[in-house]
Amino acid sequence: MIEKNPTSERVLNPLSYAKILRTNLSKPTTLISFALLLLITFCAIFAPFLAPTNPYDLAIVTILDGRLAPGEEMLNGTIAWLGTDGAGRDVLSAIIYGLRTSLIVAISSALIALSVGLTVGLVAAFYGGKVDSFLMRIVDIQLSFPAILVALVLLALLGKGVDKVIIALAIVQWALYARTVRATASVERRKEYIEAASCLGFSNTRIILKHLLPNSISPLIVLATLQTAHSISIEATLSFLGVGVPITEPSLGSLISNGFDFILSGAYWITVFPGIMLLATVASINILGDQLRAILNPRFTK
Amino acid sequence: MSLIVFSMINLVGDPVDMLVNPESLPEEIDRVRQAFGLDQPVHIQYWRFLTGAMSGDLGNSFIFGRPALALIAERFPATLELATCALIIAVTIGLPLGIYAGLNPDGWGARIIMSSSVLGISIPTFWLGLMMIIVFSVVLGWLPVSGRGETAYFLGIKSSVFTVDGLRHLIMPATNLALFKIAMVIRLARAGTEEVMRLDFIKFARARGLSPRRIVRFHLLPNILIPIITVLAIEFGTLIAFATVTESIFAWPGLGKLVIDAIVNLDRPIVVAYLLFVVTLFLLLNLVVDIIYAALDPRVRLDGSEQ
Amino acid sequence: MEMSQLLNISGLDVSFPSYFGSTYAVRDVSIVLNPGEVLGIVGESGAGKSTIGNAIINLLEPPGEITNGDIVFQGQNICKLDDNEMRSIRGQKIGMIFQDPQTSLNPLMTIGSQLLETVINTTDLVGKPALKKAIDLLEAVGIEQPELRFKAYPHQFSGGMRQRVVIALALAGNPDLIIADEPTTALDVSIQAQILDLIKALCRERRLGVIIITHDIGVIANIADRVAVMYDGSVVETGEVRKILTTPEHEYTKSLIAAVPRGDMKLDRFSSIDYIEGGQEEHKRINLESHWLGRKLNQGSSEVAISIEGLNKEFIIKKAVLPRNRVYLKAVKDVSFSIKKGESFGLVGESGSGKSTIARLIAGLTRLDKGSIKVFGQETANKGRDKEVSSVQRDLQIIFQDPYSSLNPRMRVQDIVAEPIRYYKTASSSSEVIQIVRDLLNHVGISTNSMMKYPHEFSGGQRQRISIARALASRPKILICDEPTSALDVSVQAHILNLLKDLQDEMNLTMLFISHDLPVIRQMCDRVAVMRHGAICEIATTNSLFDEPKHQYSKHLLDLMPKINFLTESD
Repeated sequence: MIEKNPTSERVLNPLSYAKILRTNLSKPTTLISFALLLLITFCAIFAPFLAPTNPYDLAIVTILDGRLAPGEEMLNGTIAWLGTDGAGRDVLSAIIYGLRTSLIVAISSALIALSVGLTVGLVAAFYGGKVDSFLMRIVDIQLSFPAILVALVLLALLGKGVDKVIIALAIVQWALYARTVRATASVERRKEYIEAASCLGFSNTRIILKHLLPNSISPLIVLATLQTAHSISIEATLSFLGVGVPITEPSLGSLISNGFDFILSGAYWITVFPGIMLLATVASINILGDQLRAILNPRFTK
Repeated sequence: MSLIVFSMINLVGDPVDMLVNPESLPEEIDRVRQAFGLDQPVHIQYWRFLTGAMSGDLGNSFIFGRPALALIAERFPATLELATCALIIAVTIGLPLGIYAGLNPDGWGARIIMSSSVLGISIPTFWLGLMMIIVFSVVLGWLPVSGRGETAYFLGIKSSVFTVDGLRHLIMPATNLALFKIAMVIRLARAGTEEVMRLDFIKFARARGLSPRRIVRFHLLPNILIPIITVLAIEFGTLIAFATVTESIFAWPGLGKLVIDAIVNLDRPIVVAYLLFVVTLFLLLNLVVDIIYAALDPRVRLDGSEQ
Repeated sequence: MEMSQLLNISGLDVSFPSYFGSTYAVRDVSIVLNPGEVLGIVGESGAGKSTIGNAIINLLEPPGEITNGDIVFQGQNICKLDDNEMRSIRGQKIGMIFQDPQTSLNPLMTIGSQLLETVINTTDLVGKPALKKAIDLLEAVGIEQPELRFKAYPHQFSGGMRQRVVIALALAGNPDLIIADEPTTALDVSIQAQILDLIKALCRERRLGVIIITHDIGVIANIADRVAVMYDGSVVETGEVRKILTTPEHEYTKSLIAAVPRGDMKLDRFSSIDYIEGGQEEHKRINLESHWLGRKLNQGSSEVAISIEGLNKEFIIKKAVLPRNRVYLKAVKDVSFSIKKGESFGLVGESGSGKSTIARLIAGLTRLDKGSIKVFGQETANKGRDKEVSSVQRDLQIIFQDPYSSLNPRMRVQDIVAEPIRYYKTASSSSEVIQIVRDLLNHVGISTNSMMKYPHEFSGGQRQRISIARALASRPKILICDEPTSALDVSVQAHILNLLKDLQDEMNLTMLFISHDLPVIRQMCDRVAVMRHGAICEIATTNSLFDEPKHQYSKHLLDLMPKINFLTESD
């Protein structure tokens, strides 16, 4: 066998990350979406300070402010830059608070799903055999059901509430993480450095954590990013349908749902603006996810 | 499976509260309870449920008062029609675009296609549906706002595709449902194309002097289709599930709307019936996928026999 | 007799522009080929030989391009042609075959359709005559029952048969020149010979010009008339095969030939191989008594290092619910042998013979079904994590075959070698650990200023050295080498084998050396066991096996060894 051309293999390690980060951030689309995401995250964290009003504080909101067009002034003097909805809530504030909910839900559920999925995937890949078949059978069964369906049913059972939405989304997602990890980890498992570690007598836990885990994690990063975007979308959809976050909590989905009733009477802003924000958020995360995928699986023959 | 479903539903809440005015006399409440068989102990309820299910009777809907299974069967064709149209649209548009982007990855066309595909998977379906209604129905007035159009029979199938009115009603919801899938097919096709074009047998085909068109049609296409088809077959299930959203917006009389209402109103028999129905459907779908795979890939179909 | 040249390459430059500047894969190469002649291009990886093949037929991997020079084929300069014009030459005038027959064929098309489409697209035949031609081609390459096999899919053929199909496909358009890029590298030794004979026969019959690109000097000696030796993108020497192999002139050619393991006698070390991997300094022998490596107390005075009896292992290759429907593969059948302390024992056989499985069984990486394994007198079979057993098992380390997957890509080299020392706390302080690691790496030939680098920054040969250092870090007494050099270039192989010899010598290691390559076994081992299909055919001392083989299969293997006879004249 001839020696493989060394340039046909490029493994990423801490050294090359910095260089790659620099070259990729210079692309305009990445830069814009990265900036947008930073802005959104900033808004979400500092919502109470940034939003002109708190649209969910029942003491302030009054129906007399209802259905003001963008730019008009509300009763207490603040300008509703994006208009108000039927109940008198400032749309801009509602969007900012809604984004906060979206991000919290998406990131929390992603973290839970990732931890569970990672553990299951690694264990299945390392031990193989019956353990692997059993665990993957469960994963496959869950994956053959569409996410939205499982979420719907779970929420029907669990009821409303932000925490319940997080749990439901986590349950929906973990199987995908598990399968992705298991695929990569299985390949790594058969590589000789794992066998060498066994030969040297290291404990199984050490091998899994120190050798298998770091080398199986890069597809998870891409997946986590794309799944976060997907979760935001699903949460909004569920809230829109009325089974997600309760109406008393901010959510872009319920905002859009409220606005639906007013479309025919011309108050378009209640539906359009939250939708655009939702689109922008999801799109920028997706773009970032694509960039990450391009970085982590570079095409070698360039 | 049915045990899990049944016990889960039972935990949710007492349906009687939903149906009866809380001010009613206790006797009234009891009578309603009895009529729906909810006065019996849980295990008897489950037994009656099972025996009923075997003979196709999954109980009557609390709200509609008619057999749940019949309701589901009634509404399913509409959803099926919507999902099938969406799938066809997704493949006819997405596949050629994705392959083109894969063959010419550095060109302007590819960049535009890929950017649109990111947009496609990012736009929330429900919001897009609302926007479509605003633009095409309210502002432009070209298409009807909601509902399903007239249907006609062709080859024994009743569908709204066969009438002009039906098509006018169908086009928005179907496209709305299809959008996410179009973007997905584009991405799958492009990734598959890029990967296969890199393989040795393509290089060997070129070394043998075969024309590019022949290579794409006979060597590239079959090799990317198999994974795409299997993914799509499973995604068909998602389409049916996601139709709930589109149906709510466009008031399409299908399964989705029925189920959402049932969940919100705690109409237990319908939810149970829907779940069982859907589980069976997905099991069938998985089976179909396996069959398709075996039919298309000779490596699975035939044993490798050494000479 | 005036022979017009078939191919004349002059002053060829091929470069690959990149973000960091251009790299030249091929520099100022000139080659001539006549009809009916077989020209070998030999070189190690990175020499640029495959690039020349790709350049001739204009299928360079992007962004590669020809920046200079001419390729004149049958009087026409073809490197200036565009893709459409090239297409009429490919297949019809020049055919090319690649290394791996499995990936060269479209898995979803029957070989008949692939043949038919090539015939139709490259000749004027259609319909019935085309079909007949396709079937004739299959027959010409030695495929029996061609009409029947026509409808078969590639995965239904064995490796050798697939390569024959590939050759048939390349010949379909009646080309005058065939470029064969490593055509036998992916095949078993016994099949290699058949394919080379086929190519030679076809070349003579049809008066083809053949360029054979390979890293294997044995192939060149077998089939080529003339040879061009390449190193680092340039041709360093050309001439008739016999002359080049017996009296090489260029330093590199001399090193290359000296690095090829000889099958006729055992040498102490591979000598005069210094042109490559920059002249290594003399291996500094360590004093075992005072060195850390020797500090481990020798438990047990058993003279027998490894003893196996009645070893059996089977794998399930077809699962089924009912036990009687399952299909098993007996990988190891009743194998028994023993290895003395300090001895070098070889295990030789083709792929699938079970030799690697035995290595893994002995090391405890795979559970065995039946039998016993004793290491220094201690039973170790299927004992898992038993304390006594595991300390004995640590005395036994493996060097694996693939240098690209035997090191954790995310760990620095220093940490990789230090891990066993830290885990077992065999050093007294963290600075001593670093000192030991530095020492070990030096000992195997890795410079100490590379200690903080990651594996991907090293070449294949260097990675194997690091693997050896890691194995030494647990102070083993027994070293199992599972094809440690099969994935390396021949010159690098020579250096690594020298290193292993030196280590064994100074540390009195017991070695179990596994390989499919007989000459390597001859150079490395005292005693040998020949394996086939999981069972042992013969065990003998190296000399008596090579001089007087007893088993039929041993004789067969020895016959297949490349005869570079004229090499023995010089020494």
